[in-house]
Amino acid sequence: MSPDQKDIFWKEAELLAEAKILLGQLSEDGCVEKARYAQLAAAYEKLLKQSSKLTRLSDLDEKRLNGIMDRLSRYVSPPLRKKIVAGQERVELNKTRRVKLSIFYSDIIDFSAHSANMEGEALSIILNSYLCAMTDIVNHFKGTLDKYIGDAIMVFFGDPDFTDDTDHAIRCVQMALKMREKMAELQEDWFRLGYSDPLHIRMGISTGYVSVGNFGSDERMDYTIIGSPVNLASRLETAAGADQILISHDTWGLVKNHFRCSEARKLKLKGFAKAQLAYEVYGLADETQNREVVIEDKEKGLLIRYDKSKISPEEVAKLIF
Amino acid sequence: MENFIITNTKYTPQIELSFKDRYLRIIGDSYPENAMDVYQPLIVKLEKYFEAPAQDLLIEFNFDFVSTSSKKMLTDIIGILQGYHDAGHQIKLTWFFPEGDLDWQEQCEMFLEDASFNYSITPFKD
Repeated sequence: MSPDQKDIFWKEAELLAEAKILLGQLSEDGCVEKARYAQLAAAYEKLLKQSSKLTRLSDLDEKRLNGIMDRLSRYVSPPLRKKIVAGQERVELNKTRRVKLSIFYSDIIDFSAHSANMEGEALSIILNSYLCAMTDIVNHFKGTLDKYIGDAIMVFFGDPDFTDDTDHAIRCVQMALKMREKMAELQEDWFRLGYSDPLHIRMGISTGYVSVGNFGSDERMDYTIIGSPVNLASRLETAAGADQILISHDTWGLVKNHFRCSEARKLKLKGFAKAQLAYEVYGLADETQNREVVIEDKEKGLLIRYDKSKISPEEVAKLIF
Repeated sequence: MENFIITNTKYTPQIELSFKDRYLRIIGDSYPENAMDVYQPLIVKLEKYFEAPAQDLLIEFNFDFVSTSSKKMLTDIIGILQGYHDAGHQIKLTWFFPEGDLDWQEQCEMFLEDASFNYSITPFKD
């Protein structure tokens, strides 16, 4: 073999061929020239050293690569990272798929106004502790964290890991409830840190067919979703009140037996010609059956909601009358 | 002898061997389809360069990413340079690595652990 044959191991192959020739000579006359043997042994020693060095270099590369993957993984959601690492997600544009997903949007009400009164460091501590806690919840429910937009969070369920439409919607609503619960804990932490103004989140969820895939340019692309249900989830979030979870009619259809929800409300939302049906989620069906009491009469403008484990109906009546 | 230059591509480094100014520079990423195509012509040119007695050569390496086959070729080249040094030529190599990248620094040290010619492993700021 020679360098012309374009093999980086041509020298090693030559060495091996020489060793074979030497072995052949040994079988003929039973002895081998000492100088040639010494030359061959020296060449083998060099080869061993080189192999050892290349192996160690390769190990270092793996360590380096793992470090890079670890750092990069913080910029993509765990399900997507898993898919990219497994080689199942092709990094190319114009290959979108049409899939039915449950989409979630949330933000902190008036966060911009709150942040105007905060020191940079306090703002960073509050925002990061909020996003860290919420991201843990997203990961716990195996959602795909699409993006943070300041204090807003966008998550979807159903891609890249698909189970079934009902499961996606249930996990999405469960996640929203857990987030609301977590906000109360965070509020206490922030209070201890000296921030007394309460922060509240609002959340919107919708379910429907969207285009999922890579959008952007060859240089920089985002794995994201586009479509009307995405806009609807965003608009429902904007329409929601403090600590409220509003879900679309499609989502409600999938989760109504699992969660206690309000009656349908017709909402006029920006970007939608027709009024949209929306429902407020109060809590888990089991939990609410045991603890939560809701008395609602839309026509009379009545809405009473209380936890019967904490207050008796008599006490509620006393508060009202 | 004319200078030897291989222009960099997305996958291969810029290689410059100047016979007149007596320097060798290899800068950029190195993950070619066939590392022999990139480095064997350089090895041939180095043979020409060191045909003259008591040559001196200033070398600069600055890589971003180096594939395993490129590493094999670089190990060969460092061995060849060591041979020229042993034969009485003067070699001085500076290997640049990104400041704070301890893995890269360790790799450079590993590449050069058997070299007895003059070398330095130098951090640079982006």
